[in-house]
Amino acid sequence: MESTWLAGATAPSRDPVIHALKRFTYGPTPELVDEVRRIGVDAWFENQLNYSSVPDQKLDEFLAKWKMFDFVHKDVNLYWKLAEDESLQPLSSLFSSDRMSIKILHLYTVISQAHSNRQIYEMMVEFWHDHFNITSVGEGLKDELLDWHTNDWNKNVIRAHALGNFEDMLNASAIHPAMIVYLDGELSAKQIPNENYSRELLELHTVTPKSGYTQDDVISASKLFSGLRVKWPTRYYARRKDFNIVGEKTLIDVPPFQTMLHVERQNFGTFKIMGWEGSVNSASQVLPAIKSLNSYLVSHPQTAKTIALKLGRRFVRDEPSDKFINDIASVFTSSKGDIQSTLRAVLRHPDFSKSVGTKFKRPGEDYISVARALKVWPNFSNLGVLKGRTQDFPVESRIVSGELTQLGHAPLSWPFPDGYADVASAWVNSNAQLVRWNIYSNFVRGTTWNQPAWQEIYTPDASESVDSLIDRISQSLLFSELGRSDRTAISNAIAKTYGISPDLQRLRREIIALIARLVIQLPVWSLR
Amino acid sequence: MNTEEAIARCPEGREGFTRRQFLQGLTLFGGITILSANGVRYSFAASTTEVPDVVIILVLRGGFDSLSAVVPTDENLMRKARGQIFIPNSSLIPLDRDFGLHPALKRLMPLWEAKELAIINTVGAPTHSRSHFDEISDVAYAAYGEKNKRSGWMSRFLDVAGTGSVVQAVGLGSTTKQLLGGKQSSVSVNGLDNFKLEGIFGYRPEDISGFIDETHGRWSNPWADQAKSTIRALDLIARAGAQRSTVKYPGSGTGDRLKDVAALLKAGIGVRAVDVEFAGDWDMHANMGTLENGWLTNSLSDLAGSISALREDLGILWSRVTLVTVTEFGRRVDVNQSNGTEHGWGGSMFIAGGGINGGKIHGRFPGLDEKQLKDGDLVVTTDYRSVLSEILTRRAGVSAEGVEKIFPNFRPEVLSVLKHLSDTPLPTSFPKSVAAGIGTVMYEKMPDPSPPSPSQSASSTPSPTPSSTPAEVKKTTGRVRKTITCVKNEKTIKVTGTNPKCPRGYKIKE
Repeated sequence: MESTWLAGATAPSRDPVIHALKRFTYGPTPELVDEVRRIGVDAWFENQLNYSSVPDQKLDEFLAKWKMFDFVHKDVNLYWKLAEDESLQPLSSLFSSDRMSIKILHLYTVISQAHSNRQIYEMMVEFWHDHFNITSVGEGLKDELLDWHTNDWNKNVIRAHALGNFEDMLNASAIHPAMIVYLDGELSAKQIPNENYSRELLELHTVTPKSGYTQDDVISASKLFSGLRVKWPTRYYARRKDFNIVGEKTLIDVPPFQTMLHVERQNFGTFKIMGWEGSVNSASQVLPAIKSLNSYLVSHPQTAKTIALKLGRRFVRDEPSDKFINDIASVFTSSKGDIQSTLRAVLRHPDFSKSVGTKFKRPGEDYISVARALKVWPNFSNLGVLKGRTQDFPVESRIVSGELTQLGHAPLSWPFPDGYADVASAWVNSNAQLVRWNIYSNFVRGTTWNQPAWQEIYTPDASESVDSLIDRISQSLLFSELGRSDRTAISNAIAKTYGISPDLQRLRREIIALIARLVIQLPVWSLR
Repeated sequence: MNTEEAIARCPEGREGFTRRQFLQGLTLFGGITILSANGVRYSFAASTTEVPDVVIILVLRGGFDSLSAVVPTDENLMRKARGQIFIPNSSLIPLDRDFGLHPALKRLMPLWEAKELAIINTVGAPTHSRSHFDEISDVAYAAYGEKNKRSGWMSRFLDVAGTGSVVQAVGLGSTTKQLLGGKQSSVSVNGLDNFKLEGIFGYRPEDISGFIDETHGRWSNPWADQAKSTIRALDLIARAGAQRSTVKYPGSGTGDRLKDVAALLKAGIGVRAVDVEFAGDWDMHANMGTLENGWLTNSLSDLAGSISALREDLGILWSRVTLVTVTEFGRRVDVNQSNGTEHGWGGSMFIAGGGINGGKIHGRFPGLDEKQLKDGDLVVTTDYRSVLSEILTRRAGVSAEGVEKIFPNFRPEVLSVLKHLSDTPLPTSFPKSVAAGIGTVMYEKMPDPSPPSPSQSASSTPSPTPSSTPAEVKKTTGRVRKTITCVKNEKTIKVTGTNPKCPRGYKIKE
């Protein structure tokens, strides 16, 4: 998004440290800025890529207080056991109307984005969730089944490979039950294979239509995938007739996920897909063939360009230059899909440093950036609770199903396979603006999130003036020098509300909150 | 793209444009017609100045089972197909010889009798995927054969014929992003009362909006520009929020939304198009309920009660409203084993308003016999875009050329479901302030198609299944048309028109 502004408005900071932190994190904090100034952007970036060694004590401590977050990283079947042990009522709510497992994952995702020290990792997790979008949107059988597999998807497909190798992630996604369910592999038949997955594999996940693939390629790929099926929770077996696949004879486990091969529905023979050819003559050759196809797709120059374009949109500008796309694609190709090498190339590309102030914060990013700037944590006294036998389970959060849903950007909730758009034009509308602006007020007041502890955001100085408060608060939130006209506007707002010389002893907290509210309201805040 | 660009970009554009203008101007109307940059037709002769209709799209999300609403009276076939959910003729409200209305829709009958409500058979999308994901978005984008589907047809409608008011397009409910998505800025409202800025501490809402206006006024980018519109819309929407109504709406989400629609129209703030989502789910796979109560009956009752209350609430304003129901697909003819129905294809569409050829069922019902179905579904005989096109041309001031921009790769069929705007003069008691808000369009009455010749009618009677590619031309309007074939990535579409062109990315196949 290209912007122009008049003299007197607050401009985005051109400081390379601030620029890098705005792009590769959900928002800089003064501590983070200090750290990066000390060790340098490159060293910080390398630490971030080596994410498992970045300590995350505060986040871990917070999550440990709430037992339900354990399940995000555990076998989702444990939800079921937990529900039985705790006699959670109604039992079905875990998988249908209240959708506990998925809500916990959503909340976990938001809290991690806001407070994990592994910021690049969290951002790439979101990036890949958008790239390989899967979403359960309702309460139908398909959605329940998808809910059931999404935690594992998050853990073993997205988080496992977010900073690893693209081919590994593609291989995992291709045979993961969540993807199979989402793109209707369950409905596939031998003679009439469902084309949903094979189409998106080519169109969205890898080569895109620019590669010139044909409908025959899609059909051929759909035949290769036609036998993949997912395991159903035991209780749901009785309902399998809904999908009309009663009577299957030969089901073979496809490790490492809850996936099976339905041999009667698998097509065999020789498959030609674009420039790839492979033969499948027995059940054991299906998986190797899929991997071989994926390997071909990852090495295709158009896949490299797809990933380069998307990384460009994520970190550089809505319309990355051809040179950027070609440069990044060549690193992707030469590193054989290594995500870390490709990201380093993005950071070091000349287009990156030239792109200050060109990216618009999507609603979710903006939301998280406020939480980070104000250093607030979810206010769990505002959560809905599922009553268990021995404990309560906060499952519903006004953060996700309230505010982020109103903003249209709840995590893992875009209904279509193409993921949330990463360009400004998709996000600009009136309702979204009013919702966003009103939520700013919620933040500084402390409703869904805790009330900000203002003394943590800046060091109080009892003797200072309102003007000095304005400068220091804006500096700690914006990391740019406040424009002259904007300073006057904020100063006038304080005067209008509290008089020319307000009683700072009595009104300090409120005045600080109003200043913060107005600083966040400035147009420059909407950019990253 | 404006005309200058169009001419600059396609070398053949200038000639085609002039030729069409010439034909239109001289051959048909004996005057000079100028096609404006945005596709609205201005003419120095043979046209009138009219206040157009406000177009209201009521989205029935989930897949509306029209066979439970507009019920065929062939009891033998219906009993066999519908089993447990069969509705006997004795329970139906008679519409004509072949159809009866579900009793829960009885509040629609006064509109039917006043000829302000029509039903169209058997309407649907050209695609038959039975997928909610694909269909609801495709129905909203209505750009079959186009790869980039980020703009909804309603947004393109306003690109072509909008008033420029910040509140010309208002969305209520969650489909807004799709129908109204695109470059045309619109206002999405989630309850009129929620469309406001909250103050904080002693800093009042008007202080915040002033602050936003001032600080965003120093910037220029799409976000800051929209912010200025949003701030301007606040007062307009507040004027709508201040409208009072004594009409009793059903106490439902849909009733609340239609009450907001009435307030938006009564406020006279320049609303041209409304996208409102029915607040309920029509995806009734199981347990539809009984004739007396349950999911289906309650939903139908809500639908009829809300539309009927809207009509009452709008009073004379109803004369400049067209409301139409849209759904992603109809449902399977046969009941399933859970007293529900599966995803299907075609279905009936309701259309209501002051300019309707109402009190009758339009279109053609394809038949319930097994051989007449497509994979167990009612066959679509009328592309929903034909209905929308007719609303836009006959009631909303869009030219035929404008419709080509709104629905690419498509030639609409003339249905005559709607009256010409020029045949329904604005009532003298129509409030001047509301009319001024809506504005006027130059309306040029296109002649109705001549009755089909025997050979034409033969080709449009019971049916070869409509193809899943964009609809082909069924009727002509007197001008010479030709059809060309366009290809892209092995995908073939046909485009018909007086001067047909392939959409961007497609190449003409000689």
